[in-house]
Amino acid sequence: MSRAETLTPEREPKVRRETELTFLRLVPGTSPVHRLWAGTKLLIAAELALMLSIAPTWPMVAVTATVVGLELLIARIPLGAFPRLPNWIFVFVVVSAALSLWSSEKPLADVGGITLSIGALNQWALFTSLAIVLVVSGALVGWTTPLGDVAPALEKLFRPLRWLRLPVDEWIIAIGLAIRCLPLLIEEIRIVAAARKLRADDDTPTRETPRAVFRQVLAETHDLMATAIVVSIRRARDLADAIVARGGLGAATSLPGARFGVTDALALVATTALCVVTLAVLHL
Amino acid sequence: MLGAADRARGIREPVRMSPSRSTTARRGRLGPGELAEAVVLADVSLALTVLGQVVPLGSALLIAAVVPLAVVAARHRLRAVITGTIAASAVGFLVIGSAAFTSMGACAALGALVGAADRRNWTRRRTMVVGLAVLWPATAVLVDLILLAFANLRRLTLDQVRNGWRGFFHVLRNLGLVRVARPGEHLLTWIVREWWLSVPITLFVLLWFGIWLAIGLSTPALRRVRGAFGAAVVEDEPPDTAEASTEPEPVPVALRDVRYRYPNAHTDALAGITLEVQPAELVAIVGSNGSGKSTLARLLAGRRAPSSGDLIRPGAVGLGREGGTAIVSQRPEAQVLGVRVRDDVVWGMPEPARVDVDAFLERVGLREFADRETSTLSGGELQRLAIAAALARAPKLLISDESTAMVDATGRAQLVTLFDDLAHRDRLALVHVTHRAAEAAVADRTITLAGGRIVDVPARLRSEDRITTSEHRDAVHIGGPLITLEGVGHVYSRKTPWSNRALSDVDLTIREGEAIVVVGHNGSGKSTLAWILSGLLTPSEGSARLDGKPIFDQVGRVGLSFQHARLQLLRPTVLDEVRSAGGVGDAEAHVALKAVGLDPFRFASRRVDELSGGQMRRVVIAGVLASQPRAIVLDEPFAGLDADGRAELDALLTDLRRRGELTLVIVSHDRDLPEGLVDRIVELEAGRIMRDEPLEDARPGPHS
Repeated sequence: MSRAETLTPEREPKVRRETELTFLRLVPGTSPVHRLWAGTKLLIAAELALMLSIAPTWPMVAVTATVVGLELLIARIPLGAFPRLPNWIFVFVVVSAALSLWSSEKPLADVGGITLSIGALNQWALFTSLAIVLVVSGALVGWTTPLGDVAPALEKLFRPLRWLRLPVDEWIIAIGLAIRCLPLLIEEIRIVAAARKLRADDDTPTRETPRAVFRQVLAETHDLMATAIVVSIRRARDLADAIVARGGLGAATSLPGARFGVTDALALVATTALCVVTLAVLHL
Repeated sequence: MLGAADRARGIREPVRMSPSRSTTARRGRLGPGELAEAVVLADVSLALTVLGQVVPLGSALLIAAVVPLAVVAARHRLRAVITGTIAASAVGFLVIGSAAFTSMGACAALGALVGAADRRNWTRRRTMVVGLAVLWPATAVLVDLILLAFANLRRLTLDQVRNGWRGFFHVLRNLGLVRVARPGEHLLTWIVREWWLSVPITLFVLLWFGIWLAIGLSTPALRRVRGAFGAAVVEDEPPDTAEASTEPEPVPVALRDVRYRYPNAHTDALAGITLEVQPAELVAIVGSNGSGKSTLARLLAGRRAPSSGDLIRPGAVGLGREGGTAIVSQRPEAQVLGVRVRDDVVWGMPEPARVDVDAFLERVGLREFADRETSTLSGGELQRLAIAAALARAPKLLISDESTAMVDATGRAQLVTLFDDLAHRDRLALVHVTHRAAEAAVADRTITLAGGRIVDVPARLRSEDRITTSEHRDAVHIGGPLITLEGVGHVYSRKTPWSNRALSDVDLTIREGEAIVVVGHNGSGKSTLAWILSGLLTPSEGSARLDGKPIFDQVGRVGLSFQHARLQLLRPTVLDEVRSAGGVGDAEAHVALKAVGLDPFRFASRRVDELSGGQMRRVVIAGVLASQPRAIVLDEPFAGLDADGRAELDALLTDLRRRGELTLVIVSHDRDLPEGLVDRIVELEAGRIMRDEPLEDARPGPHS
C-alpha cells in the first residue's frame, strides 16, 4: 500500500510522499498527557465525541478542538505524527466543497456573476472540522498510551457491566490479544499483498470481455482472502496452544499499573465542566 | 484429593477415543481455540476495515471485511462472533474513532448471517430473505432512534447530503440536463424531509446489496477453509474435572509400551514407547521431522492421551498450573501473549501481583527488557521470555518442544546452557526435543526416535548443522554485474516520530550466476535489503538497479521466496499455484515441479494446505523458477528444517545452480549454511555492510 506507483521507467527514486498510517503507535515522551491513566484518556475522547454529537455547532467544535489542541501541545505531538493520507482524499474533500458552493443554502454571495452558497460552504466546513476533531481525539489516545495499558484500563471502565452479568473478563482478554495480534496480522497481510505483486500479472490473455476480466478479478480476490484467512486460522491455533500452555484463559487480571490519580480527576472534571457549560450556555 | 494408596499406584491416563465435539454445540465461556480464532479473524476484519477507509475503492474492502467474521460464525458459536467484534471495535476505536463501532457492527451482523447460512446449507435466496427479515427491521429502528436522539447531528448530516447533491444538480442544469435535475431535486427534498422513511429505505437497499455481496465473497472462502481445516473446529477435550481438582505432580512420569495414532490417520505416530523421566534430569529426545518426537512431547504435556499403553504419573499434569508442567514450543513469536514483556510473564496467572517478575526475567537474562514491548524482541530473546513465563509457575516438568529450531547459533547456545542449569541446579525434570543431535551433549540421557519408535542408536554427535556435499560445482559460470546497489539507504516512517533507519550506504554488486548469502541479526536490515533487491520496496536513498534499470520498475523479475512459505501460496492446488506464480501453462509448471523434486503426477492436484512446511517451500521455489527470474532471493530458506530437509534443499539449490545460470541471494540470520552452497558472504550490522568477501569454497569451483 505504501509504495507510490511509478510509471516512467527511467525515473530515479526521489523523495516521494508516501501514504503512512501512524495510528496505534506511541509517540515517545513523558508529558503529563502520557502519564494520565489510559481510562481517563478514553473517557475524554468518548466525552468529546458525545458532546459533538449532541451539539454539532461551531462553538462546540471550537471548545473540543481547544481541548484536543491543548492535549496535543502538552504531549508535544509533532506534526510528523499525523497520518499522511493519500491524495484522493483531498481531491474528494475539495470536490465536495465545490459542489456545496453550487447549492442554494443561504446566505448567497455574488462573485463575478456566479451565485455561490456561503451557507452551504459553512456547513461543509463545520462537518469537516467535526470529523477531524473526532478522529484526532481518538488517535491521541493511541499516540500517548502504551498499548499494554489499554486492556487493563478497559477492565476498570467495563466493571459496571459485570452487574449485568456480561462476560467482561472474556472481552478484556480478547481485547488484549487483539492488540497483541494486530501488528502480526498486518505484517502477514502486507506479505500476501507483496507475494501477489511479485507474480507475473495473470495467466490469461488480455483481450477478454469485461465480464471475463471481472470474473478474473473476483477469482483473484477469493484466492487472496482465502490465503489470508487460512494463514490467520493457523496463527490462531498457535495462539490457542500458547494459551493452553499457560494453563488456560484464567481471569482478566494484570499487573498493577498506572492508576486513577489526582491529575486524572482534574483532567476529567475540567473537560466535563467545559463541555457541560458550553452546552448549557449555547442550547438552553 | 487422592488417598495414599492412589498416590502409590499413580494415576493412569484413561484411554479415550478422542471424543471431541464441534464447538458450535458448546455453551458457557469460550475455550482457548474459539477465543483465539475469533480474536485473530476479527482483527483481520478490522485491518481490512481500516484499509478500506484510506485506500481508493476501499468500500470493496469493507465488504471483504465481512468474510473473516463469516468464517468465525460458520465455525463457532455466536458468542465467539460477538466477543471478537467487541475486541476489534475497541482496538479500532483507537485507530479510526467511533466509525469502528458501526463498521465492525455491520461486518459482524452480515458475517453472522452468512456464516449461519453456510452451516445450515441455506440457499442464497433463503439467506437473503432471512437476512433482510431479521437484520433490516432491527437496524432500521436502531438507526432511526439514533437519528432521533441526536437531532442536531442528523440535521447537519442531512444538510450536508442535500447541499452536495444540490450542487451536483445545479451543475446538471447548467449542462442543460434540466430533465434529470428537476425530478432529482424533488426526490432529494423528499429524502431530506422524510428522513425517518428514506433512511430505512436506503438501509434496505444497502443491506440487500451487502448480503448479496457478502454471500458471493464468503462462500468460496468458506469452502477453502473447510477444505483446509474440516467443517468445524474440534478442540482437545477440556481437562476433565479429575485433572483440574488433582494436585499437579507430573514427575516422575513413566510410559509403558505407549502407542498413539492421530484420529483419521492410517499409521501410528508412536508405537512401543517405554521411558521414564525423573526430577532433576535432562532428557534429550532427538529425531528428524516426522519421527514422532513432537507427538511424544504432547503426550508428556497431557495434550493427548495414549491410544494404548500406560502413562503413569503421581498426580495431575497441571499444564500451565503452578507446580505442574510447562512447555516452550518451536515458533518464538507464536507463544507470546502479552503486549509488554512484564505482562507476558504473568499472563493467565491467577494472582499476577504476587509474582516477582524481575527475578524470573533475571534468571533468563532479560532483566532490562521488563518494560519493552514484546514485538521488539529477537527469536532467542522471545524463547527465553517463554521460559521465564514457564518458571513463574514453578513447574516440576519443563518440556522444550523444538524451542531451539528457529533460533540462531548464539541464541541456541544460551538456551541449552539455561536448560542444563535448570535441570541440574534447580532440579527440574527437563525434556528437550530437538532435531540437532549436538544439543544432546548436555543431556543426562538421549532418546533417539525414528518412525515413531525408540531406536537404539547412541547419540551420534555428528555435526548435523554443517552439511558437506562432495559434488562438484564445475558448470557454474559467473558473468557480469546483474544487480547493482549504489549508496542504498532506507528509512521507514520518514519524517515521523517513529522514523527508523534500516539501511545506510549499501554498495553491493551481484554478478550473473553468483550465489551470495546475506547474514545479520534481527533488525540488521537484511529483510529490508531482500525487499529492495526484489523491487518491492523503493529505497529512500541511492539506486537499486537490475540490468541497469531501477528494480522497482521490474517487480517480478527478481523472484523472492518469503520465510513463511504459506503466505506466498495464493492458489488452492499445487499446479494452479505454480501456473499462477510463474505465469505459465501446465507443461512449464510440470517442468518446474520436477526441478524442485516434486513429482508432478503425485503433487499437481494436491491442495497446498496438505503440504508439509518443506514441501510448501519447494512449491514456492517452483513457482519462482517457472517465472524465469533474473535472480532469486530466498529469505531464511533453511529455518526450521531438520538435517535431512536441509540436505535436500541444499542439493536442490546446488543442482539448480549447476543446471542453469541461476543467480542466488540467500538471506539468513544463521551462519550455519551448508558448506559450498554460496560463493560470497555479506554481513549486515545495524544497516551497514560490515563484511563482503568470497567464501573459501569446500566444493571445488571454476575459479578456485
